[in-house]
Amino acid sequence: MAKGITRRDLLKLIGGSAVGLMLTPIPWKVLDETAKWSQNWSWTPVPRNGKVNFKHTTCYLCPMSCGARVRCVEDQPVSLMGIPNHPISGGGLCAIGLGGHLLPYHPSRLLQPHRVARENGRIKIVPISREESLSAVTEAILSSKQGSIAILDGQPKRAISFAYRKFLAGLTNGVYIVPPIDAGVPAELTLRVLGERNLSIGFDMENTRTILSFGAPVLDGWGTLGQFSKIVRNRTGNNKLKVIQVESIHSRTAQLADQWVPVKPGTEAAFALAIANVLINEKLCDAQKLRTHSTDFDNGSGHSFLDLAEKFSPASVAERSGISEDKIVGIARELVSQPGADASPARKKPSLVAFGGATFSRDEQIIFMDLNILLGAIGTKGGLIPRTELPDPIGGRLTEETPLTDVPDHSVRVLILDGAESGTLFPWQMLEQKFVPNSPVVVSLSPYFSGIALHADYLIPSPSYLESCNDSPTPAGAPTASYSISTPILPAPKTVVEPLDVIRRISAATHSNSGNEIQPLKELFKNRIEKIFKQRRGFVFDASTGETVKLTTIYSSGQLMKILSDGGCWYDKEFGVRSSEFGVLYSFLGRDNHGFEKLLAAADHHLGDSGLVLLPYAANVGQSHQLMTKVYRESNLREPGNEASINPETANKLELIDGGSAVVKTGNGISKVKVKFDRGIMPGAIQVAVGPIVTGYAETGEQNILEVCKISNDSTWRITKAEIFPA
Amino acid sequence: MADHGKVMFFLGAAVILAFGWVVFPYVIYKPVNQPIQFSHFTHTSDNVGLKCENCHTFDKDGRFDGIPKIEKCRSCHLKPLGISGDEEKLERNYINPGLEIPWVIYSKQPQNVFFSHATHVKLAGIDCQTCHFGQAYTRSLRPAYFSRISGYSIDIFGKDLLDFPSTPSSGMRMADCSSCHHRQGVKESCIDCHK
Amino acid sequence: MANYESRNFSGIAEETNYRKSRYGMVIDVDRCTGCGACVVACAVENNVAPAPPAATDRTGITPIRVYKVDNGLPFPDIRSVFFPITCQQCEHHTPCVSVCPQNAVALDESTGIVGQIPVRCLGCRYCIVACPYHARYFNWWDPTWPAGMEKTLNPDVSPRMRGVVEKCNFCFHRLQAARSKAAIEGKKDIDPADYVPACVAACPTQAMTFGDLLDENSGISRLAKNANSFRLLENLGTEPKIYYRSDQEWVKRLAENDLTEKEKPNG
Repeated sequence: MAKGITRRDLLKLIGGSAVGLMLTPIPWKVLDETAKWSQNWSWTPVPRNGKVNFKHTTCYLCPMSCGARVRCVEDQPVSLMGIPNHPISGGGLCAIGLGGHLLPYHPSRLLQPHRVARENGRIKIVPISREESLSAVTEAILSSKQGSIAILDGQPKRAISFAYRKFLAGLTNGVYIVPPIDAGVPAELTLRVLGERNLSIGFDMENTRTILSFGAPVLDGWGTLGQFSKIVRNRTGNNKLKVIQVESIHSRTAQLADQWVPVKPGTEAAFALAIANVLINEKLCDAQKLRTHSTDFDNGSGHSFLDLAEKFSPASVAERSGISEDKIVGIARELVSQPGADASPARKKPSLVAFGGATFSRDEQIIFMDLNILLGAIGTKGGLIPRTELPDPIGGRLTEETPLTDVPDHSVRVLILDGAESGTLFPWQMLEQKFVPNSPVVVSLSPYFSGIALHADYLIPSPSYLESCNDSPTPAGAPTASYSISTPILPAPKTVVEPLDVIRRISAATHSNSGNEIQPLKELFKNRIEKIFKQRRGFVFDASTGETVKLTTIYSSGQLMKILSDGGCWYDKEFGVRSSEFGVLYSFLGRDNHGFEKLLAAADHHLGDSGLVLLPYAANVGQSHQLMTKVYRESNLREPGNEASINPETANKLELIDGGSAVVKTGNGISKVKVKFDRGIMPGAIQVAVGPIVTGYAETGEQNILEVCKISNDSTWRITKAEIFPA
Repeated sequence: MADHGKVMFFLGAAVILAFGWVVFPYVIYKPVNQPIQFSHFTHTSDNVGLKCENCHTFDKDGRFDGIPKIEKCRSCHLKPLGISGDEEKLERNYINPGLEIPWVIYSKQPQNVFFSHATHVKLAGIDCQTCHFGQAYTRSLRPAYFSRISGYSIDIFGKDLLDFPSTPSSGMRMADCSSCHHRQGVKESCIDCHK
Repeated sequence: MANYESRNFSGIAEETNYRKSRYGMVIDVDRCTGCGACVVACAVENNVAPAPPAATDRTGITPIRVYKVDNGLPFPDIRSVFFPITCQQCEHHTPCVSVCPQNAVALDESTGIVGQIPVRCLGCRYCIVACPYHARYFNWWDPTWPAGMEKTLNPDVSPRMRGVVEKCNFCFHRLQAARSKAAIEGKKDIDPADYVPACVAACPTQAMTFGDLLDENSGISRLAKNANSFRLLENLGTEPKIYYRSDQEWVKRLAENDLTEKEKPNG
């Protein structure tokens, strides 16, 4: 007779199930599966697999025209690398170029036009439609007849630059502005030493013996990547290239140079003239030749270059600059020395003087260039060599290129910032003082809300890197002319606006018609390439084969266009580098009478010893991509824009703490910084990089120290009196 | 007097065992059907005579292309070649609009595994059927089964719930690959198969 | 102390499926300008996410990291050089391999590559303590990319989740790809030009050279034996496969600063 089911029975049932469970796959399988599940969180991305293929393009994040090979998976770029054997880049790509494929997804990237609202010191961007943005710009232009319409072109001499100039020429009050950043040797200086307008100057650094650099980042990225690589590699082995870095800043180049000459801020030109003084007095230059090849080297007027150099003896400059007289004389002698006492003329390599264009005034630059003339570096192998200019792709009437310093104050009413990616290395103040007092309007065409775009009123973004067409004309400092183009690799979103569409719209609204005649960019490239093809000179590099051939072997300009559209490049042969018997009339002081006084004043500029000096310096330029955290925060290899480097001696006197917060105060404002002790910094100097603050996943912060720098009368901003307090 | 305790015990065990061995294997895996019932047999039989490598190609760098793209199908099926409803579906939904067929992949290894078809097929000379047994002669595509918990395919983690290492044709776990490597005398190292 | 004998690399490789090799690097410190291209190239190649806002130079992930080193002199005679540090790929007494409780890292007998498999790691961080070169990094956070950027990940490398250690693996996924490429041509041995880590390929001044230290014909075995080449922390006996070289005396002296003059053994 069965009993009822008791609790004990139930427990036995459960017990049996438990034992049975152990003998089934259930617990083991569930454990296994759960372990796998816990390692595959949905938010850890899984890279998409697929067909791999390679495309080529030319990087245009800066003007140096490096070739880039794009590795794509299912047509999505996943990495960039240099193109081996590329004649301009030498096969490399810089830290910014290597992460360029991330830029279309950068948090600061704009996908449609915006209006910028500023309230209570906060910036807010409000999305608006394409139509709204274009109407707003045309309205601003038509609203008043006062003031000019200006375009600031970040990378002049591109095809689109010519388009801008043509458009502006059709307006009654158009101005085309080129920024005061290092774009190689300015045209005016070129005219002085080469005497011709259609040439520009390149640096034949491969064959140089010693580079005397005034602030130029020779070992940190100067000239093309190929040139930079050669400079670095030529510093080892026999007959090595020497770098003498003259600057107050403990820059990367100063850290690596063979000799760092930390002159007191402002005394660079005086130092250069002291060198000139030694060269002249110790007969280390060919004074006779210089007399016959110029009207103002030594003309007995008491106001010639010779007289200028006399005023800057090494002894007097030693005190001003903080560099001993012996050192100055030693450097001058070094510049003309050759390996081996009787080196044959063929083995002789000249020295040359390089200078970082952005931070020096025009007059100081004249002095540096004059030193080059003295060294016989003009038109010689290993020195400054002439290059042809690229053909004009558009023809017709074009507005002149106006350097920013020449634009009259309070004259610009509407400023269009072209979206060139080369970054902002000059203070916004310099632009601000050019605006008319009542309601100027600033429009940014940049695809990113960064750099000077932060000051804009309207943002009309162009397609981002890898999504647009662009051309790369001859880079500053390259030894020959060159040309390459880039075509889109990714499709651009439909909501962004081509810059030429903005131009055409303004043109239509102002009834100027100059914009309507502008062809699409690709056509402009085609025109330029046709003209280059017709010249039948130079060489062509084909990225897909890695080979360089003579242009004469290319059978049509269509074929040339095809090669250049796929990451190739054209470069000129060297433009008849003549011997030092360069038949030109050098101009040392300028044809106007003020040359002498101006240069005297420029060279005499130096700061007294009182107080601290804020020295801004440029770190990496360009729109920084997210992976720059590796270089800025995760390894502090580079100083970010909110870090102030100070000599420990100076810092201790001011009671600053290494790694602590501080406030830098100048006559122009204050800036919050983090303090970093660095034994290499000149005592009394506060060094702050003009660089990004790469904060994290979501932002690349911008804190631009240039905002608090003082712009001096000669339009430079490299020296600002400052104070620093612990925060 | 019946001992209810023992009965209950064995009843419990029996129920769980039955559940664990019979029901559980079906419950834990979720079937997913292929978008088109493709018949390998039609394509590989003597009429058409295609070989594996005609559609499942390698590129010049040795990467295995895997399941062919729609271009491959289009190269023959631009116009219907037969009368099946599936071919009609192929034309209508994929070839004409130019869309890729969303095939469900049976043997996709997890992210951390690197498998080189080139090494096994070209260098070791292993026949496709050794690991993809019978696939070439199927007349329809079986549904793919994915674990409801981890999402892994049953082809990878083994149809054999006992987890004993078996041949690659019934599972492609590390132990399965290793067992074949041991038989062939292939030395192993982490970096050869992981990424 | 730099053991000059050790420059004749003494790794013993086993003949396995592939020709025995010992992959190593020679980094010319005189040519390194600290540009950071290698750091970015490595992050792109290995799907290393940008740092979250809280990350610092101690908690970020930089499988290759460039350190600045100076000559110790005060202003204005101070000069610097830059040292790119990756996993030094130790050959003997590999510290991280010997401490890992999970066998998540192993020295590959065939190539000498010390391979870290993050999926096996349980995150105890013992290896980070053990590594004398500070070349290992821990994923303190789940990797996150800004929206859309996850499309740019490299499919050849699997992203790690938080809680596991990662380090430079000599881009062995490129070795795997080179092997597949050789296999499709019916060859067992790879073409050396097909296997170059991302950092070496990216260096604009070609300061880094990569190759097989056991291959007498390769440039790298010659460079490693050069009188100006040295390794870091040689007295620990880890036999790293990364060599550095410099013509500058103060740099070489820096690498020897772990023993006083008196303690130096003969030779």
